[in-house]
Amino acid sequence: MTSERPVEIAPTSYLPVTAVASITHRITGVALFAGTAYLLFLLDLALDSEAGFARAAALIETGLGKFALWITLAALAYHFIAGVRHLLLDFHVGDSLAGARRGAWTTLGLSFLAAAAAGAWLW
Amino acid sequence: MVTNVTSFGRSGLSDFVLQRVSAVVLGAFGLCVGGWFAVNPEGGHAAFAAWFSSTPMVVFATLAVGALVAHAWIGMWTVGTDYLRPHYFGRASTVVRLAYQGATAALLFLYLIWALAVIWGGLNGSTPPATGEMPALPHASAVGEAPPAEGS
Ligand code: HEM
Ligand code: HEM
Repeated sequence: MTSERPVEIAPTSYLPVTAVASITHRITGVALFAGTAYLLFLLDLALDSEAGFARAAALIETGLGKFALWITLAALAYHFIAGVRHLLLDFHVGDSLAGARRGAWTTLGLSFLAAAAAGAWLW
Repeated sequence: MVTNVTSFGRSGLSDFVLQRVSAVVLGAFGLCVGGWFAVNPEGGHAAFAAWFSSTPMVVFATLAVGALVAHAWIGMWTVGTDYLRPHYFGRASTVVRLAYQGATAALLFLYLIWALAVIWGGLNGSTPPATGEMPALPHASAVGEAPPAEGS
């Protein structure tokens, strides 16, 4: 007897590049929610006064402060690039299977370059 | 139509559109601020503050804060709805999800107030002009004077 029930395909052992791109967009979105506090803190200092601006500049010179800013900027870069891709997909640009794979790789590649550029700028 | 009391626009379709419109606003704002630092590598407080407190930037930043609140609420709501459900949390899932949503809303409210205070500046005179050239106020001589004695 043929069952009409959905078949469990157990996808646990492989992760298509499109799934990696998707889950990373989610992770970076939640990371940005937290990172917003740090960016607001820096903006508050930088706008407050000369001394505040200097404090913000000094903070992002410390190892932890610089790393936190880099992580936040890298997350923003990824979330932004993947977000633009998402908007294109909404208009059915690049939503074929091959196009989606290409778009996912492009997103990951561009974000890698953007994160490296942010790192080069900071260090 | 499926509705949910904790969604932002009370319908999934309006949340979907808001999520996208707010994404475009946030993206444009991020490029704008990032672009300023790229174009002005020397930066400095005075130049940055002068630019950021110009009327167009104050309006744009205010718009961006509104977009952030809508975007982050809808986004965090989506994530919470996906994971904080009975499959993982059993009968506690509603309480867990509401606590998560409450914490998200509280933090977003903090961001909103904080960001507006930063953008609009100087609440309670906490931020004097950056140049230090605070003009003397006409009533400055009155500051610190003892209040008139009450005729008892
Ligand atoms: C063969 C394997 C997989 C297939 C066919 C698949 C398929 C899908 C589909 C059709 C969606 C809905 C897309 C949409 O919201 O429009 C989705 C969303 C999602 N998948 Fe997968 N998936 C797979 C593996 C995985 C794995 C292994 C993970 C995580 C470890 C994952 C994480 C996610 C997440 C987080 C979403 C939500 C994305 C969003 O809301 O934007 N997927 N997946
Ligand atoms: C600090 C700012 C931002 C925060 C805190 C944030 C946060 C989030 C979160 C938590 C999600 C939900 C992710 C999910 O359901 O998987 C999301 C989704 C989304 N974000 Fe952002 N985001 C920000 C900026 C941006 C920017 C600049 C863009 C620009 C293109 C963008 C585009 C998107 C899009 C298109 C979605 C919908 C994804 C979907 O429907 O699956 N976001 N965001």
